[in-house]
Amino acid sequence: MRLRVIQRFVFLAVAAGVIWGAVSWMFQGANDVQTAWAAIEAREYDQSIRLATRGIRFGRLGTEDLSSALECRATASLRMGELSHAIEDLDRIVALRPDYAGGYFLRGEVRLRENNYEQALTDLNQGFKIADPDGKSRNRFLAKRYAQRGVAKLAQKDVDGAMADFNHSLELNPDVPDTYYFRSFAFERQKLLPQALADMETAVKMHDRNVFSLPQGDWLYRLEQLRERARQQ
Amino acid sequence: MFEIFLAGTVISALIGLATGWVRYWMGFFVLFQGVIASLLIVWLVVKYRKYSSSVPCPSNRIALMAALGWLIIFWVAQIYGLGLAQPWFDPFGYFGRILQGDAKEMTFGMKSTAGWASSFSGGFGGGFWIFLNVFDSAIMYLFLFRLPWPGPTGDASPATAGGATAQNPTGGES
Repeated sequence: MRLRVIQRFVFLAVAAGVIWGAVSWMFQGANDVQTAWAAIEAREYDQSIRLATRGIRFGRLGTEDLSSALECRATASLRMGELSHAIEDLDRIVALRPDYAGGYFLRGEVRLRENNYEQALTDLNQGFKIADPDGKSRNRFLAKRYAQRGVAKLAQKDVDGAMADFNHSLELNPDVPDTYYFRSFAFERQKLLPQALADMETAVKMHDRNVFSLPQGDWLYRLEQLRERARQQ
Repeated sequence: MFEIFLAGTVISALIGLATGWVRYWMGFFVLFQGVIASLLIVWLVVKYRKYSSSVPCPSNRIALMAALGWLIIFWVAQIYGLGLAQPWFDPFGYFGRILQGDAKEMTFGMKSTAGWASSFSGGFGGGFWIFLNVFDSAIMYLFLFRLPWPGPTGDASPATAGGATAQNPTGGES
């Protein structure tokens, strides 16, 4: 009787080991994370979430790979508009790697989408403290983050601060129409209508140059409004 | 007979849950999934039936309805199981996007054209994905209808159940 119990126990232990080994062999975490990022590029957000989650659950990932998987899943959630899920993952990244600027930047972007400007500003500032502490970095990738901080500052009615960030963003990368679009609001707040109109015209022209971009109705409407006001002055 | 149906319902629900969970992690294996799941359900139902008192041979209509019920329960459980595997429970959103063709599900299978068999894999969504699922479920339905019940002689083994004809596959009165 006892022998049968031991036999069954050994059989179950071996079976569990074999299944776990097979699962680990099939689901190679690092590969899953890589494929999940590729799925983001292909705009397959559901697949990206699935693969990143598989890596997180079964992949036995190291800290950096785990952070990458969480960031990938947060990016997919953000693109799908699932902001609370994105925040959940980004909180984990920040807890896991407090010295990683990317976690703060992405969380700042999500907060911005949530219209939570105060926390967006806190996160973006924290990201810059790590990535560009003296504000002298020439990294083009930071342009987007400076522009986002500008938007947060603009929403907090810090027009001068916003203007400084938009200018810095355009210094790093002058080919982003969105930054001109947002800067036109800052100029408008400063009652500099010609500059606002010039930025808006640049934004629309740059946007139209991209054959893959859809026409932005609200941009054209704003451009017309600014032109009308400039004519009236 | 009702006891067998209830047991089949519970078994279908459990197998459906497991299938949904595995399906999320590994993808959809066309045909293989339906065959393995339905044979597992049938095997467990027959195993249970052997322990219970003698079961009369049901009519075709009852067998068809029971199989449909199990298939529906299996699908509901499968959707729920898939949701349990997700990081955030949203199986209807997931399947909804695939149905609309906005997302794709990793799908594997085997095809045969002009006698040349080969495997295929890829992301499928929309109409073709629906077709593959209907095909898989149709095979499941066939197994669930035919195999769990005893033949008219009361033979308990589905493999050797006698008395089946083209008009009356279960061998019972219709």
